[in-house]
Amino acid sequence: MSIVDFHIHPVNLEEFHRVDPNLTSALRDIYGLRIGLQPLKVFVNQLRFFGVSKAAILGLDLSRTYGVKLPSNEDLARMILMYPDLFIGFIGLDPLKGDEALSECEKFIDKRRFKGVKLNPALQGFRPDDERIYPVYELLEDLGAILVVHTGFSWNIRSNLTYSYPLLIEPIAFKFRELKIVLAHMGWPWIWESICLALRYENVYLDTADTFTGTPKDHLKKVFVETLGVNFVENFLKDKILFGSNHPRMESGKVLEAIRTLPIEDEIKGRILGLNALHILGEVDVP
Amino acid sequence: MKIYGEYLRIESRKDEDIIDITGLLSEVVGRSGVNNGIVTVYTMHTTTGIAVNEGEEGLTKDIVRFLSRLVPKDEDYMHHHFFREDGRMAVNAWAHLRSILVGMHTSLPISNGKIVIGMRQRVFFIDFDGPQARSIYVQVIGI
Repeated sequence: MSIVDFHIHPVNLEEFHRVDPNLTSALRDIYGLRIGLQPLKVFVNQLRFFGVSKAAILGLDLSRTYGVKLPSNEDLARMILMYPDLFIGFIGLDPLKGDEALSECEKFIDKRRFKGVKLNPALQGFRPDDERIYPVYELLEDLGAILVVHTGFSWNIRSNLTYSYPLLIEPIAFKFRELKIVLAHMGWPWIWESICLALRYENVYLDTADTFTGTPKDHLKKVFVETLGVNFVENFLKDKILFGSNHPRMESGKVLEAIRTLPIEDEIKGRILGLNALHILGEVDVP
Repeated sequence: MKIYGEYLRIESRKDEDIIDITGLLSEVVGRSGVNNGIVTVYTMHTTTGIAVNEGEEGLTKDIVRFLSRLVPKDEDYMHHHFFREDGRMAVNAWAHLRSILVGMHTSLPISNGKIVIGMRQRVFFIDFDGPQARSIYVQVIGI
């Protein structure tokens, strides 16, 4: 079975922090994460040990607001170059940078295994439905790229949750029908709003990243079993949900194990764990 | 009297990994120049342990299984909540509790420049929440 972790932030890799010590304070003070650094090869071994066959590594461009990129797109490119069979990239982008943002998309996407863009409007400080950003969405659509966008909760006090409300994505999903959009974290706690979009729009998907109400098993049980109901997940969302961990805030293996223990059909777990991701990446057809 | 210390990196390769570090300790003792004294090894992490036991493959699996039965993952633990200072959820109380049961350090005598250790004894670093890069500190005291 192919397992694709669609939500990984490679922010604590020793190699990058050694070159740029500012990353270490930014990781703690801006990104709000205090965690030990790990060598890239240990991280790769961790993913492989847990059976992850593809991992989407996400950039985050905070250069306008905080003067840092966590990590830079060049660092993501280095990771992909070293492990081309494992990593696929989503560039960090500040869409308010106008032509510079458009050039960054053209420079990276569809080259060197970059498949799209990661935006975090809440932490980057913009409304995702700001029409000044539309040229970026239009270009992404033209490039056949995927937009992964943070929706819902964040513990980070610097995040403005007004900008992570899932329904702010509706005008984009409506206008750019060929742009595949992944609502990260399923928009928790605004799960139903996220599901509204996923049900209404063929181009909208959801990822399982992070765990806000307990362990991954506790959280996913609350979401899939107690809130949504197994029958609803199996009948309405089987081709809409992607496995994502939000590593290193939560290790890939722990979220993976939580999904495996959910009381849903194995065939649908297979879709969530990998097939749905491979489908939106254009690598397989899923009936 | 000499006091010599080194940090060593251990890279676990599994979620629960038992790694023989006896050879590493002997090398540190050699580098310390101490002929008679004591070597202490201490893990820098609260979800790992240090133990002395036999290195038979089946036994190492038994150790992992026994501790897993004793401290199962699927229990309600009060540790499992958001840590604001870390910016992440704590979800591994079981690894901390297993670490407490095993202990986080051990000391061995040194005689004539060699670690004094039984024929079947080995020193193990145990990771309860791997795979990760980990650190241990080895201190040698003696003459």
